[in-house]
Amino acid sequence: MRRRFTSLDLHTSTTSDYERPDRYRQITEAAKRDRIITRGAGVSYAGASFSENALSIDVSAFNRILAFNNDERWVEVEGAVSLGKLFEFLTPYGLHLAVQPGHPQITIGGCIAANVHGKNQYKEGVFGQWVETLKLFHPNHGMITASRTENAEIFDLTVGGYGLTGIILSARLRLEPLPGLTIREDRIKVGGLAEAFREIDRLKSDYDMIYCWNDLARRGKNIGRGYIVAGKYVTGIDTEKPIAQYKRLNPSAKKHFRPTIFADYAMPWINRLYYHQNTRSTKPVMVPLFGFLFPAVGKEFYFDFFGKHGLIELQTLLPSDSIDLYVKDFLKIIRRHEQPVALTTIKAFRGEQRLLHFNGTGFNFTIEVRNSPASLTLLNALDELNCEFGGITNIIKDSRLRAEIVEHQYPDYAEFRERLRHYDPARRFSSTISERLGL
Amino acid sequence: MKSLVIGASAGLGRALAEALAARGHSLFLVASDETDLVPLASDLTLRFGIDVSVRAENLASADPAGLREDVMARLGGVDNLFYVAGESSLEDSGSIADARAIRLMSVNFSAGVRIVNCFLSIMEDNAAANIVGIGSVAACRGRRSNSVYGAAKRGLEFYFETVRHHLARHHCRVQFYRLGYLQTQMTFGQDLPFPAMAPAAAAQKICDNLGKNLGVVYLPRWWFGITSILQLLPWQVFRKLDI
Repeated sequence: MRRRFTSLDLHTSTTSDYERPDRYRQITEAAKRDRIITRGAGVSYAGASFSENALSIDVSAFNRILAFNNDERWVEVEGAVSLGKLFEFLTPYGLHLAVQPGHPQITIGGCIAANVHGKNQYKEGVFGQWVETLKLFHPNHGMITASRTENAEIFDLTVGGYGLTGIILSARLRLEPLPGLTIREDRIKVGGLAEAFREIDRLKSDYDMIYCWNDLARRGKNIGRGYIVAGKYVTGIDTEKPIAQYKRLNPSAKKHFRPTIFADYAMPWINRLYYHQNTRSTKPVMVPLFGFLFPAVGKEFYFDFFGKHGLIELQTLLPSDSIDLYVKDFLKIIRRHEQPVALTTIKAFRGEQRLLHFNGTGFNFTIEVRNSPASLTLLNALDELNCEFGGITNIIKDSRLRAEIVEHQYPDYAEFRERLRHYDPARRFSSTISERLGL
Repeated sequence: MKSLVIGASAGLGRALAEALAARGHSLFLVASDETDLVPLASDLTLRFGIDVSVRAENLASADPAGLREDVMARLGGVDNLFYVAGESSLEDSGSIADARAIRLMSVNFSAGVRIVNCFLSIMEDNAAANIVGIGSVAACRGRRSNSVYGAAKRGLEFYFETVRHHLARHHCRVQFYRLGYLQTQMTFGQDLPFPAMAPAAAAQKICDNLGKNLGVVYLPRWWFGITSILQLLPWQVFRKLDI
């Protein structure tokens, strides 16, 4: 059948062929098409699971837990198992996935394909580090078991390979002990962007999870003020088994009414209100882990509030050595373009950048703006700034990111492209991301 | 409780297996392909801590006696038997290939009859037992599409009525569901005139009804109105309908 697909940011929309197998033999059958791409939860910011030139194979029925070893701390799951389902399964055993992105609907296959990060990247790294083995299906290669020791080349390309190496059927994941189901959350006010970077840098080792929210919608001397959300696990106060209940995101659903609440004139006031609401008290509060891990739960309306053209997220990993200079130049560009930023966050990062992985050491700096011609001009200017300061842009988050920017920012871009072609000369897997970036 | 689900790998069968597992039933799951059953069994065992056995059975050449022996050996008895298996074909609109017609009749009718028949003797005096068949609203009246499928489901429904009559003097209950559209592979990609029900919601209803003396049940219930109208339509009107 044909179906209209839209990315979570509502920026990219295409009509594509669509199959939804619920048996393994149907996956094999569907994958006979020349161009295919896997679809899990379908909630990537950028269009990772569809393309007008490819058949989208929805594997959401393959969401079962296959094996679990409490003593050795691992779990083996099918690719479409969601973070929410695993959260519910693992917490009674006092275990969890160390790295979890912001919504429980996201699938394990998606986490592997984008090699995602969570809220504690500085301490726990990125998702790929916790994957031990995976089973992959490629129509030309058949079933492949891959790990760091078996088919290591394919494993390396698949983790952070944006779903271009095959359908991730299952994966074995390493688990971590879960200290508790409650987080003691501290909120620390910061007066500006430079201070926010400094405070995140100072506090990053002291907390289990830490990020900063900043207000870049307002102008004047307080531009960039915000608050740090810093969480530590609390042990011994959990009494009930948590239930992972949440409203599903469905950006591809037909909606006739998407009001532009985050209009340019309204954004400064909305952010001001949000800042005051969240900084009324700076006393520590106890929050359930589920809510802290998945802050997008309960805020699903957020994506619709940007109107029918949606939003664009620019998430950049910046080296820490020249951050003060970067902030100065960044604020100059923001002031010059006069485009209010709806959301700004900062996190600390530590890791090694290679291939197309959004990883490295420094700061993860994210902004979200309403999708408009003026915003695109601003983002293009910021692309240049990021290139100048050695930043890399998160491919899975940015629907308008151009191939030449990725080529400039990611030193291994050509190597990834070449290795992908060597593995799959016919390039059977294709998405709007891979087509836009020339992969 | 010990439950046997025939046609458990996907759609309603899988949803039923999950709903029964959540209620603590020990399960014996049957489907054509073990590749799909093994992951389901693992998932249910790990999440609900129940015993799950699986068996691959091609319903076109079913071995009911072998199945019963296997069930008795591994499950140790049966309290609930669900015949959920079903198969339709886009070719099924007048002149279908013979082999395809035979397969549709086997999966939707004869295998169900043979399996229920084989398990009757061990279930009829079990006061907690339920035999549940899954039919379709497609069987309410003969149409040009789904002709073999509809006829086979009508036959299955007839057989379940005879079983219910036979067991009226025994303890075992017999239920038969006329299902409307379900969000399964059978309806995927079709432009349906009425909303399709989620398999999980249908499975919950079926589980809630276990132990009740219900006979024929429509799921969702409003399909009773639609099928009643279709059944009452005079032939001169019905023959002009493009359904």
